[in-house]
Amino acid sequence: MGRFLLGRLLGAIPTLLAIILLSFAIMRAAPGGPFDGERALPPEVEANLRAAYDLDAPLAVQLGRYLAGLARFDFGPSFKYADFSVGELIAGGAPVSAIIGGAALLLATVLGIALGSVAALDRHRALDSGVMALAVVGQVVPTFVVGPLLALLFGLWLGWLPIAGLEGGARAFVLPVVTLALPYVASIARLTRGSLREVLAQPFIRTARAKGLDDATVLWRHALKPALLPVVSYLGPAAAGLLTGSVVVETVFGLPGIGRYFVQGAINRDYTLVLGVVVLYGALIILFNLLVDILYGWLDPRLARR
Amino acid sequence: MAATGRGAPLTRRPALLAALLGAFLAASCGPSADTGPGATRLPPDTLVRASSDELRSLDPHKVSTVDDIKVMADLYEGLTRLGADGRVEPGLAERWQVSADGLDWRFTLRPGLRFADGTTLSARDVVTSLRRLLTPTTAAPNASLFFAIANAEAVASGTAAPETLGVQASDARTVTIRLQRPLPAFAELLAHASAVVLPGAALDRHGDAWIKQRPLASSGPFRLRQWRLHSALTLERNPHYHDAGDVALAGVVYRPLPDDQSALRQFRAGALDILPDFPARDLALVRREIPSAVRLAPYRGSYYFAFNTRRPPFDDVRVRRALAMSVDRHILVHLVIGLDQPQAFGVVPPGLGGYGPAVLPGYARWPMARRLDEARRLLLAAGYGPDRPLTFEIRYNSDVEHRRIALALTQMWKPLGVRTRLVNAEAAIHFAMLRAGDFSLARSGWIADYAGAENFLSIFMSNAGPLNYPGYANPDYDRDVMAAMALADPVARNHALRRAEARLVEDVPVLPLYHYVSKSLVGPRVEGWTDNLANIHPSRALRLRPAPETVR
Repeated sequence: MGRFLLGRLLGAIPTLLAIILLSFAIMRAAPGGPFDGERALPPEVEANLRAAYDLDAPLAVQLGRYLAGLARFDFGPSFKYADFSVGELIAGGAPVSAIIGGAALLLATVLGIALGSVAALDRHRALDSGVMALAVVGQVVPTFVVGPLLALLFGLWLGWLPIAGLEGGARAFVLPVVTLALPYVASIARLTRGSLREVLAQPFIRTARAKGLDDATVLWRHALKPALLPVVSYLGPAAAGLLTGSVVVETVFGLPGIGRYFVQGAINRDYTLVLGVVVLYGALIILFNLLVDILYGWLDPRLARR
Repeated sequence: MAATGRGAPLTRRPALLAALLGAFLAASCGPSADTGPGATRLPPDTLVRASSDELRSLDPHKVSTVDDIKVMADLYEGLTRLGADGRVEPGLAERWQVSADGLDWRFTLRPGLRFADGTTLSARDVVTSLRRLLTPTTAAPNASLFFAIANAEAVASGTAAPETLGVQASDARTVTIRLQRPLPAFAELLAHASAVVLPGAALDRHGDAWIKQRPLASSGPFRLRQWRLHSALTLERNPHYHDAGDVALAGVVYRPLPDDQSALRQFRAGALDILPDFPARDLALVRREIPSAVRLAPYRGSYYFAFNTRRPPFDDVRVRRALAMSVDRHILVHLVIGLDQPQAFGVVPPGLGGYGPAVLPGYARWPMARRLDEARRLLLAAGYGPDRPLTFEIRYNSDVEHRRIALALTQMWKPLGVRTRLVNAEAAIHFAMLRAGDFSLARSGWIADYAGAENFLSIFMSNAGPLNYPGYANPDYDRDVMAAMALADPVARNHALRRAEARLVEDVPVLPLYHYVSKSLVGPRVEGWTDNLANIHPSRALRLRPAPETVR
C-alpha cells in the first residue's frame, strides 16, 4: 500500500507539470493582456507595469521563474488585485469554497444515494419515475437559473434566508449549498439507481433473497457496496470541482470563494491567478482520484487483490 | 455505515433522512431576532454601497476605474475635493490663489491636518505624493492627466528626476504648483483620486508596500477598518479628518457585486443603500417596484463607435459622414436603450464646465428623409452603391446593450445598401484590437476625468498615442486644440475648443450616439443625495435617516 501511494504521488508531478505548461501556454496565446482596459494606458506606463510584473522577460524565463517560485509555494503576485499575492487570494477564498463545497458534497452524496436506492428498489415504478423525473430536471436546469430563483423565492419574497453575502451565519450557507448540490444530487441518484439495478439482478442477490433476507438487509449488507463503485469514481473529480468553488454560485450569492477566479482570472488575463487555481484544482483532482482508487479496494476486494 | 443500517426497514430510511433535512431547513429558515433581510450585523449609521467590481488596490496611484475612484474619495483627500453636487470645493487646502497668467497656483493647507493614524500631514506630503504619481516606476494609470504640471511629462518618461517636478513646499502649509500651460479646471483636477495626499514618510520608508501598513495612513473622511476581498470593504469615520464633525455616517461598507442581477436583488431586499448602476432593461421593473429609489441624471460621458480612419472604407470622410447622418439617434435612446439619453453628434457632453450646449453638425436638424438622401449621395460619390455595397464589421465588447445598439445600426444602414457583420469579443480582446488599430467600426466611449472639454478633445490629437482609437490625424485639429489649451481665460478657451470640436464633428472620426445618463438606485434611508453631472456622491455628504425597522 505504501509503495502504491508513493508511486502515485511521484507520478502526479509530471501530470501537474504538464497541466501548468499547458495552462501557461494557453493563457499566453490568448489575445489581449492584463493591462488592456477600456481606456488604453500610455505606452510608457504599460512598459513599466510589464517590467514590474516581469512580463518583459522571455516566456521561457518567465515559466522557469514561475516554477521556481511554485517549488517554494510562491504563486506570484496577482495582476488584477495589486495588493495581494495569488497565495493570499487563494488562502482567503479557499475556506469559504471548501465549506460550501464540502456541505454540498455531503448533501449530494447522502441525498443522491438515498433517492437512487429508493428508485432502484421501488416495485411499483411510481416512486422510481418520480425520482428519475426530478433527477432529470435537477441535471438539466443550470445553477444560474436555480440560484437566482431560490434567491428570489426564499430571499426576496419569503424573506426566510439571507439573499446574499456571509452575514447571517449558517443560514447564509443554505441557499448556496442547496443550489450547488442539486445537479450533483441528480447525477448521484441516477448513477446509484442504474448501478444498483444491475447489482440487484445478479445471482448473489438472488441467493441472498432466497435465504429470506428483507429488502433492507439485502441492500445494506450485499448490494450497496458493489453498486457504489460508479458513484465513487464520479465523486472523485466531483469533489475536486465542488471544493474549489463555483463561479455561478459565488456571483449569484455574493460569496468570497475562489470559484470566481477561474473565470474572472481568465477574463482579466490575471495569468498568475489562473495558474494558481488551476494548479490547486489539478492537485485536488489527482488527490481525489487516488482516494477513489483506495476506496475501490475497500468496496470491491477483488480489485485490491489484483 | 453498513453496520448501523442493519435490520432497519429500508423504506423508512429515506423518509427519516428527508425529515432530518426538512428539520434542518426549517430551523435555518425560521425568523431570527437579528437578521431579517435589510437588517444586518453592521453598526447603525453604516451606509452600504455596491461596487460593480472588487477594488483593484487601496493605493490611489494604482486604480483607474470609476468604481475604484469612488472608494478613493471616501478614504483619501487631495488639496481640493468634490462636494455633494459634484463641484470642486476646498479639501486639505483651505484656499488657493492663481497668478494672472494661470500658471502659478499657490495652495494654503488647513492648520493641524493629520493622517488617519494620527501623524501630521504637511505640505511635504503633498509634494511627495504628486512626485510619486508621476514617477515612471509607480506606473500610475492616470499620471498623464497631470501633464499640465511643469516638467511632468519629462518626469513621467524618466528623462528628468522627480525632484524637478513643478511642485514645491515653501513652508509646512504652503504648496506652490507651476503649470507649463494654463488649465482653468486644475483645481477640479486636483480633486481626482490620483492627486490625493499620501503619507510621505511611509512612502519613503516602505515604497509600494506602504499600502500594507496598518493602520492605513489615509487622509480622507473615512479610514480602513477591514477588507474582506469579494465580500466587504468596511470603512469607519476618521476622527483625525479636518471635517470629522460634519461627517454624519459612522461608517461605509462597499460590496463588490459583479453580477448586476444579484446586485439588483440585494437592493430590492433592502440589503444595499446605494446601487451605482443597473441594467437599462430593468428600468421598467424598478420604476414599478421602487419608483422613489430610481435616480436618472445626465452624466459627463459620451457613447460612440470609433471609425478606423487609417484604412478603407473609413479613410474616406464621405463614407463616415454618410453613416453618421443616417443614424436615427432618437430611436436608439428612446426605443433601443429606453433611457432617453441626450442624443450626441459630437463628443463633449453639454454643460461640461461652462462649455455650453453640445456642438452640432448642420445635418443634426434635418429630417431623417433628407439625411438619408444625402447619405446615399455621399456613398455613391465615394464609389459605393448597389453594384458595390459598402461592407464592414461592427465590433463591440460583449454586452447586451452594445449588441442591441449594433443591431439597430445595422438596420438603420440597410436602406443605404450597407452590409455589416457583428463581431463581439470580451473586453480585453476588444480593447487590445482597438489599441492595435485592428478594426473597422468599434464600440468605444469616454467618461470625463474632470469637467474640462480638452479631456474629451485631446484624445483625438495625432500625438495622443493608443488613446486615439480612430487614428485620426488632422494637423488643423491638432493646432486648434493646442491653441485652445494655451488659453487661461475659461470663456475664450471654451470658445476655441468649440471651434476645434466643430472640425471634429465635420470629420467624424467617431460616430457619436448619445451622452451618458447615470442610473442609480438610492434607498429610502439615504439623505443628502444630489444628482450631478460628475455622478460623484461622496459618503461624507450623505446621512442615514433613522429607520425604525432596522434600528434596535
